[in-house]
Amino acid sequence: MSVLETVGLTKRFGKAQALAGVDLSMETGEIYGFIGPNGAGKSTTIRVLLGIIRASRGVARIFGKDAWSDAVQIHERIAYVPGDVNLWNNLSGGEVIDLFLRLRKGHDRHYRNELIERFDLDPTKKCGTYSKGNRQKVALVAAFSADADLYILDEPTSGLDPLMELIFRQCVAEAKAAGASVFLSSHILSEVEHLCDRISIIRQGRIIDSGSLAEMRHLTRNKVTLEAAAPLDGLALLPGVHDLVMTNEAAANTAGRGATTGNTVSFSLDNTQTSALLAFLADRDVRHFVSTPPTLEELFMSHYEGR
Amino acid sequence: MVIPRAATHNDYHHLRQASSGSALSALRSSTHNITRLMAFMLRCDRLWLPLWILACLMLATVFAPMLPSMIGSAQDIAILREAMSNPAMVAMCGIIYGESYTYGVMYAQFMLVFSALLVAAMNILFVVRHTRKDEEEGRLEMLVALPVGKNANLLATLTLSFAGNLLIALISGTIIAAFGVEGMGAFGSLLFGAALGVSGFIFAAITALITQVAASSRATLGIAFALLGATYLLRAVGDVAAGNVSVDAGVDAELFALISPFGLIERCHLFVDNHSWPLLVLFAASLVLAALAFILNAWRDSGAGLIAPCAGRAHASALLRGPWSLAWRLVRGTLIAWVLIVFIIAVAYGSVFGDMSLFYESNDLYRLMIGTAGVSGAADLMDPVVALLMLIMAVISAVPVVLVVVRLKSEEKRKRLELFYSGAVSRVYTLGGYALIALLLAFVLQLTTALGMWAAAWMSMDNPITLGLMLKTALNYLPAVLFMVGLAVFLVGALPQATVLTWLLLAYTFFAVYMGSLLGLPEWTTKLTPFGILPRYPVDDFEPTLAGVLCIVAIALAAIGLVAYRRRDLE
Ligand SMILES: Nc1ncnc2c1ncn2[C@@H]1O[C@H](COP(=O)(O)OP(=O)(O)OP(=O)(O)O)[C@@H](O)[C@H]1O
Ligand SMILES: [Mg+2]
Repeated sequence: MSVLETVGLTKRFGKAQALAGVDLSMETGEIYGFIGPNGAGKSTTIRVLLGIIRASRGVARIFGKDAWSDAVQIHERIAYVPGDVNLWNNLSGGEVIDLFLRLRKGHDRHYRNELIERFDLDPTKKCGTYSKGNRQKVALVAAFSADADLYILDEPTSGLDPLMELIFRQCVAEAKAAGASVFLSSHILSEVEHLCDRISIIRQGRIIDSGSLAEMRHLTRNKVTLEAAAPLDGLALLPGVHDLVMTNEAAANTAGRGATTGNTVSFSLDNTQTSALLAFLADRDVRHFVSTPPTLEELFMSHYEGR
Repeated sequence: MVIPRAATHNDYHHLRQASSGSALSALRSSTHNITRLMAFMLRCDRLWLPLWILACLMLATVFAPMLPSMIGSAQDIAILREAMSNPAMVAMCGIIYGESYTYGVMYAQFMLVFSALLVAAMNILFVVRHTRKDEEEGRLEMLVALPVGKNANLLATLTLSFAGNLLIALISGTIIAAFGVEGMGAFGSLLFGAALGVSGFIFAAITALITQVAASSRATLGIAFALLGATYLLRAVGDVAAGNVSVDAGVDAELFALISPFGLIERCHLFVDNHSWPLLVLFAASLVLAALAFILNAWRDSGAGLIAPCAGRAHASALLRGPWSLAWRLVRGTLIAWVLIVFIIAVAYGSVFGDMSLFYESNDLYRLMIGTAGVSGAADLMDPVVALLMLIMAVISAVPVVLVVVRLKSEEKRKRLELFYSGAVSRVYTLGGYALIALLLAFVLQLTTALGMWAAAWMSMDNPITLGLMLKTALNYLPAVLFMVGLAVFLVGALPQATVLTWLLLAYTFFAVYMGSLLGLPEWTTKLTPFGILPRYPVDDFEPTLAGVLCIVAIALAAIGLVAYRRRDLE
């Protein structure tokens, strides 16, 4: 059954068109990644899903109910974490967490305390004195200790340090294990790659691609820079190697013929071809090897080149 | 091994001096840096400080030359003196000193305490701005990185505040003296200015001290202003006790006024005896407090007070469980403060009743405001006065009432609602909760007004107005306050950009009611407002239909607002 579904979702703010027909479909138990550049319409989509704003056209359904008119019923079973958490200055973190738990249906008091400990949060501090990351932790604890069926997370780790991000990933995995679904909007591609079963990419209010991680694999290429003592003849002919660049000039002359004699090269590599490359490099005396995952921007670029 | 504190401190200084040459040059560079620090502060405050100083100077001086034209004949002066000796007036302004009621004596009673309050407020804000606030926002960290020493910032702040107060003292004293008003001599005028300067500086020193102890700049501001209010009240208590010879308390209750800076500056007996010892005492106290602040400042960590911020609860109480209890929690503090404020204003107004006839005869303004139709003596005067005061009180009470409803809009503006409504929370139920609190508050405030006025009237009058009459008069205006609730709900729900209309309407009402009759504006100008359209109860008859219609309009507006709130996008 589809836990979350939108069809032709459109939203205008005056003249500006924030969403121009967003189609999403997410199955129960899935972790769904939602990525796109700034201003693409991720938060706007989520606000429509939460019934905060009303779609100009199109449908948004959660648990088969209309996201706008049945909002209160839907919210009994969902938990939300915004990227920018604004809380009440004179309430303590613990009070805010309890308040949100009471605003939802089921919750686990014991798990709440455990999460506070795991996220290393001081619940007695007033929200006005929390840092950005700590405010985010308050929202995360409130969300994950609610026994929700669907978690909607909008850049939930934008203020967290790496250690806390790790704990966040554990929480998502635990929620999935408990049978819940997670809708995760993020700018951190590694986070999305690591956690999500399926991904949609949104750009300028439109979904430009979506599918399972395996289906989108061709999109993810690593940038490789390496230095070897032995010549690297034949590297350009290897499957999955793209955009090969020589760093020394002598090598550049021969590049056109597919024979590489230089020592330092950089290129992008399809993730599926990593072992072929390693086999190729095995006896070539590699002195230096750097492999960087693509940034979100590069992913978009490669996506457009593919079209 | 334990290194004594002083030793490490000295080591540090030796290091500094070694790196910058001789001790003398270190001192020179340190003072040089403090001058730079002060220049930096002045540049930050190039608008703020002149405006504040100007405001203080205006308040302290502009009324001086107007006095003779405002209070004309000798008879007026005698009546005014009688009225201003009323305990309520003494509590508000201070004691009248001296046998003859000169313009100088009048001016000292009217203006000294109020001007000093403003100067003190300026000093509190200035010191907090340049100490804890700068620290919290990280501005100080880069300054401390310069070789300026730990106390440099506090020294620069207090030096500047001293200079500012000196400026205010000299200029205001000179200006008042220059006006040459009869009964306001040159020495008295300068002493008046000095009193302002000294009371400003002692609050700078007090704030500098609080700054060391409190947990944050907000807390510092809160404590400092609470202290300002408390010292003002202490003075009021002491002054009233000093004037009231019939009460013979065991301890001289005037002592209360003597431990308050405001009470002390009054004891200069300005333009009568012109004592200067109170100012010397205050100045000495300021220096002691400032010294204490320096000692504590060297002790504590930057960014932290000596007292840690009080911790909140780890768990919410069982009472915080939904939209209504959250709404209550958010507005609770403001509401309690407003109930107190309304009560105090009601008591102040109520205490006027005792001297009603005096006021009426002495003051043309009052005669104009209240009207003369059918008034033949003090007794006939009561009804229109009760009606007018109750009307003004209803307008004042409408402010916090509207504030409660508009709070939901400011929650939206501060982007707190997105997360809040992600809970299973109905929008109608939430806005309805705020409206309900506003409604209850409207009732409570009208009751508070009636009770406060009645209590004060009961104490000051021979034949007090009955509580029943007060209550009926207050409840007469309730429909108008309810209309304001309806309007606010409508605006928050349907036209959130236009909530300012509620304030415009209240401001207009206040203006029309207060000034309308003085300026001779036609009657319909007040009738335009929900408050003015109602009958002035003890004078006119109660009009149930009109009240009913107003209530129905209020309910209709609220209903439209609730429906619209359900249907609109949230920010
Ligand atoms: N209330 C509003 N009024 C007008 N325009 C809006 C409003 N909210 C969003 N927009 C516009 O809609 C577009 C989509 O914004 P949205 O916040 O959904 O982007 P996003 O994908 O979440 O971006 P980011 O990654 O920066 O969070 C932007 O161009 C934004 O300017
Ligand atoms: Mg966003």
